[in-house]
Amino acid sequence: MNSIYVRRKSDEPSTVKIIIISLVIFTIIVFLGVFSLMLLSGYELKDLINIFFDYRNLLSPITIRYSIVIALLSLAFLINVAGGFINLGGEGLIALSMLAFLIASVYNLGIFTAFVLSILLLILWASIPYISKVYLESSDVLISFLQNFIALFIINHIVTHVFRGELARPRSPPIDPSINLHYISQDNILYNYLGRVSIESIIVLLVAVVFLTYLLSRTKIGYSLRLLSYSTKTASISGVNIPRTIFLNLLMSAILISFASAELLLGGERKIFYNENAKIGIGSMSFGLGYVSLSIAILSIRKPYISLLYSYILALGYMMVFSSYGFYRLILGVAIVGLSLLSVLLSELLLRYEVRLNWRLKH
Amino acid sequence: MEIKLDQIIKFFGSLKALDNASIYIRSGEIVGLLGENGAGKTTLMNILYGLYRPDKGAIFVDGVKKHYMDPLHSMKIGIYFIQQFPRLIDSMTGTENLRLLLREDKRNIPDLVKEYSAKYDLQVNFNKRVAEMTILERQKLYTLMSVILGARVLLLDEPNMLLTTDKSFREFLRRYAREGNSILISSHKISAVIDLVDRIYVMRKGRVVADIRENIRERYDEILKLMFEYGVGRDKEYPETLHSEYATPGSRENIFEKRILELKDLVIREDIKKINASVNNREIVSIISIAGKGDKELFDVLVGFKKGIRGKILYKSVDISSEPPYRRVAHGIFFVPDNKLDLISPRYKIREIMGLWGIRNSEISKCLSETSVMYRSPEANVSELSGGNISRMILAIVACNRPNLVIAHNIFSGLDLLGYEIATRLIKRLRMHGVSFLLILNDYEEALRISDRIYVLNERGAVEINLNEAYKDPSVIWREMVS
Repeated sequence: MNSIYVRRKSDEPSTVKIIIISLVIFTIIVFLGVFSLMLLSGYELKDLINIFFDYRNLLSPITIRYSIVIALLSLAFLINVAGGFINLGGEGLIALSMLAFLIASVYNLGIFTAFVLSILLLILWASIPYISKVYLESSDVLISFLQNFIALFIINHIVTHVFRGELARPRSPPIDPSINLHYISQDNILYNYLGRVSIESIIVLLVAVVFLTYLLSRTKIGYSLRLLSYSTKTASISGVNIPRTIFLNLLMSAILISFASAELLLGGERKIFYNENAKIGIGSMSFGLGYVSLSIAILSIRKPYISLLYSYILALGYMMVFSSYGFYRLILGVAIVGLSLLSVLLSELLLRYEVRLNWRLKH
Repeated sequence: MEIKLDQIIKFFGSLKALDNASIYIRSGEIVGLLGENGAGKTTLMNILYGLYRPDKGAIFVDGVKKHYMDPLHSMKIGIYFIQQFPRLIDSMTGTENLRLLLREDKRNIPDLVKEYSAKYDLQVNFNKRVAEMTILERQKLYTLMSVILGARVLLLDEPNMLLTTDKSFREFLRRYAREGNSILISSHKISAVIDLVDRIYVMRKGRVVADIRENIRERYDEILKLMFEYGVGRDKEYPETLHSEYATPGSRENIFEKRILELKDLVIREDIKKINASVNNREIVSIISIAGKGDKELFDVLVGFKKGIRGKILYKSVDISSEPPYRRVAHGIFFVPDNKLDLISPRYKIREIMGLWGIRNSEISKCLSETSVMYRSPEANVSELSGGNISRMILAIVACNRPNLVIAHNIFSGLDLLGYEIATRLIKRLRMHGVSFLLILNDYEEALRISDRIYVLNERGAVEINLNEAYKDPSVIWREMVS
């Protein structure tokens, strides 16, 4: 190959095109990739077919619950990405938000204060890489990546030393029952499909999708927010109040991340724990949750509602990981993150870029 | 190298940007590509360089047929494109940008720059960061970089200001062509190219309407007619009526009521003394300077991108010198940078840019018609607009936004004759509605035709020019500029 030429297309692809191409790429790379890895790891083909073609996963309450969590996080990162901020510290943010809920639980502060505390903590934490990028031109990717480790270290320290609930394993005490969301009752027919998903999360998710679609493509605030991703210079000369826009961006994403972590923490074991494999109190689901959500955010940047579809597909991918066992679960968890990022990159390249490869044969 | 573009067709959505356009360039030729804003000149150059792929037609390079070009291959065979707003890496110096493109890093870059600068008598500061350069400096830098990199064909997109203000650049082009290289210059300004080129193609609405080979210098009026369907002002290049109402001394007192902006002992560079200048209400004031001699620094300090070394900027008697740019905009100051893409993001839709400035969807078409912007639809991306149309769009925003004060750096750059006429009339009209203008310009003729007062920026600071003297003998300004 003599040369490769890549140019961003001026036209935004249609929704149908985005859905079809992304679905195909996701399917090929993530599903087949995981399938091949499992096969190479010693799984029997028959077992794999059972795992992969288990139609019960399609509408299982767990799949729906994970979809909602991933979608909330994706929308949170979508706001960041729209404002030119790539936050690689997703898991760290979830950890900090959970910490806020734990503090509120320990000191009996109530659910509302827990949310306020979580939002404030997240804004402060995420403002470090974002402000450094805008004002000091430093790398938001690198800073947020490093912050992720710091946040996880803090959680480790807290559940090991400060608020240790069990002696056997580093776990926090259970969250006080006063800190809770509203869930669908077990008598309700919807419980069979949605399971233990909070009503608040569903409402926040649906409102956020509509609100963000409108905000980013139809309002002056949305245009100002996006202008920061083009150039700080252009934003400031266009009269964009940069500190206020950064705050607004972080506030909106902090609200969504807080709901996602509340969904994970309060709807699950209600304890924060730290271990080498699962990292924080979200069980096996913690594998690269931040990276996966960020990749969905990038792909659905111009059309936020598409993140709902991607979140559902990724949740199905996670279901495959849960169907595996032991050491392979860890490998597959890491693999699914890498493969989903790869599929997002490829979809983005196919949808929004014109790529030319010039081959010349040597005579 | 001989290049031929044959029957090129290019669509942007439903808009036919190029309609069977054919041109050829031979070795050693300087060819002019003239047309109004949006005629298709830049699109044709983009296709020749490989940034766009034609929908139909073919490109022949030394007789070899190609359906489309590729920028990397173009550079490899010696075709270099100097865009209107050259895309260089802003945070790097000229030397660093050159190092990125230089395939063989065996030779010392400063020596190479010195050698070529001396050979062509073309002075460019390669040690300056690109972000600190004016558009003219960037165009000149990229031209010299292209020559060092081995260009055999130079595609120059709208280098009008360079051609009209920099004699050494014109001389360089002549000499470079004499060495057997080819040059294609797109322009909307006939006077900038008419005595430089060997042939002229005239484009209108995506079509090549004329190929003028003989007696070019005597066919000015014919070219003008071919370029503009509806004709332009009475004075061909510049309409004559622009300053007539206000330029007469004595008539000003009734119009200008109070001081809007005052620069008090402002120091923007150590080698330029304190700047003292002012703009009154409804006044059009120009500060003229040679490109790169403080004009960019002054604009950056006025916007708030940089802090002045000393001194004050008073807006309606309030010191705004330490305020960030967005606060200055909130006061009602509209800034137009030299690089128009610093104000208008090409990634946005036209509707979104207008929305950013508070212009509602229902007002967009009316607003854009103020300056005759040629666009497909409000949903089209700004990247589809030509450089001239982006400049017109900015003026349309000014017209609909009605700020108190416009501070602009080379506001007329990129505008064709019709665009210039529209812009000057608009500025005059807006001033009647209470808008004041501080224009930082490199072209003193432009300043002379529109300003109520003129300052020249030189080492002594801002020196006010006696307009009565300047009308009689415009060289007064030039002498002050180079003093």
